[in-house]
Amino acid sequence: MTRKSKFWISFFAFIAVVSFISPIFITFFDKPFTSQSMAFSSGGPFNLGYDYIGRPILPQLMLGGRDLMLASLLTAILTRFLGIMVGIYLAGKKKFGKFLRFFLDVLLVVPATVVSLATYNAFSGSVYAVIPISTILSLPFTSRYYESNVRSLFTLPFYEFAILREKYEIKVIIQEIIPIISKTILTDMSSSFIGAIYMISSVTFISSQTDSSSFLWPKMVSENLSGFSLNPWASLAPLLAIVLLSAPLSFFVDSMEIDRL
Amino acid sequence: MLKKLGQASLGKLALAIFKIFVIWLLAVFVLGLLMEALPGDVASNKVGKQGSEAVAALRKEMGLDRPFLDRFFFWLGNFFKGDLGKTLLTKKDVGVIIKTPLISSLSITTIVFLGLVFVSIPLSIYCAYYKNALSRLISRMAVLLSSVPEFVLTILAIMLLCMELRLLPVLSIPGPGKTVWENPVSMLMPSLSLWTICTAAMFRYLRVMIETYVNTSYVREAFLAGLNKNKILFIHLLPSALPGIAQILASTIPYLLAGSMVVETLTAYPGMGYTLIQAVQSRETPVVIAIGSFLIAITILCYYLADFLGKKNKNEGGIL
Repeated sequence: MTRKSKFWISFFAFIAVVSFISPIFITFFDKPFTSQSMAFSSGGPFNLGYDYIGRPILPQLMLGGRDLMLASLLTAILTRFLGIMVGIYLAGKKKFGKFLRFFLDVLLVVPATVVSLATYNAFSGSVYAVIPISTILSLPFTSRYYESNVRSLFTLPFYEFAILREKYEIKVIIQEIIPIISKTILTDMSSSFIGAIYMISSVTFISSQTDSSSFLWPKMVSENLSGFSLNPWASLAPLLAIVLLSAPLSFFVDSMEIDRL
Repeated sequence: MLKKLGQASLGKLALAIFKIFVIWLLAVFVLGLLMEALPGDVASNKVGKQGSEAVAALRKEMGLDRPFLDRFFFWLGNFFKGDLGKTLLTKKDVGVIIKTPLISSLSITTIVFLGLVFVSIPLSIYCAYYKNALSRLISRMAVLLSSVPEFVLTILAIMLLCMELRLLPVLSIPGPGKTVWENPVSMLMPSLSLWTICTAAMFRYLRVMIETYVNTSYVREAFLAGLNKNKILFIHLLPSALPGIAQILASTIPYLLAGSMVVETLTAYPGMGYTLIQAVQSRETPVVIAIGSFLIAITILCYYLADFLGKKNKNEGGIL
């Protein structure tokens, strides 16, 4: 990894940790005074003002990143884990591989955003409900990616020797194949995390459903956009928070791609 | 011999068409099944507060008490007769509801596609091939733009172009009783936003592709032989890269149609994405399936085209 890659991944890690632990510090603020008459007013903690129903922006901003980040992280981990398993299975030209590939081709063309949006709405705005659906619908892409990465490795002599030596193929795959593609997995996991943030952000942004027990940055943007001229920070602050979460990771992936070239 | 070749090609074509049809049918079935599996429906949305008996009565009235397979094959039979069914709540013809949004979405898809072909691709190739201050600046901007979700980009574009500079209208509504072509200004903001999003995403793939070709032995030998840089690009590099570029372009079309949902919602553009979101939120499954089946058909055709071009390229794997 170059210095540039290390810088961006460190910056992202810092933002991620801050987003994750900031809800703990909510208790340090006095219980905020909330009133409809304060809607889109300026002032408040750190001068970020108030939202469309008079709630201060800062506490919501501190709460709004954790669920988004956790759901995106879980989606990224699950999709890649399943993708690696299915990709390796298909690369090994096993029984039922052709049927599995055909079924995945069917899933490939199902519009994922539509189904994710419907799922999000049906489960009353729970961002975690989107995880299984987006994992399954991402499987065709991830399995193809890892299948193409791993297929050539199965024909190499070292793999054949390892298969002859070991009793269990899964042990050979874990010991011999996974370490070789670990850099690819890291870069791909980062891209997957970014993709998950985009997808979950877009779905929560355009949905009309609200889960009043949780705050999400994209939801804050959509709810407060109408009052932009009165208090721009009500929608700008969560917007910039989303950029701060996704941009460093994107720059990290970009610098890793440049390194590979 | 030619007759045999012709027959073999026809046979392959027939097989491909059959495969496309089967994938389309299964994908539409899966979409319907996923929508069916979700909790609640249009009846529970409308009369849920009145109790389970009211919901059951409304479901029976709408035909939602029939088994899913029954309803799906009934819809399929009507689909092949050109009837897309009726909406559950208002009993309006689904075909009539989606016709105008479909034309609106296809219009901006065409405009954006032309923008990608004539502006984005040449710009991406220029930035990947010629390493100067301008290309580095554009590259950094593209990476930054591709780092943020679509709605962030669109909101920032609306803030800058519509609210600050007042160059374009905030809402992209053509006007009462007008189509988008009767008020072409309504297409500008959504087209510009979509074009920016697609260009930023495509830029990275194209840059990697062009830089890979620059590092191939025959291109390096052409540089070493002292050939003009422009000549190397147009005579040696681009002909090899064109199938790959066309493949990336073909893969962008499904996104242009399905991914325009966010842009259309933000700009209030009366396209398919906007109609689809309304249908999903009100659980109007016939509208969702009708639009979904169209999106699935376009996606399959584009991926098949991309695969065909990829096989010509021989470097890329197939998508389907």
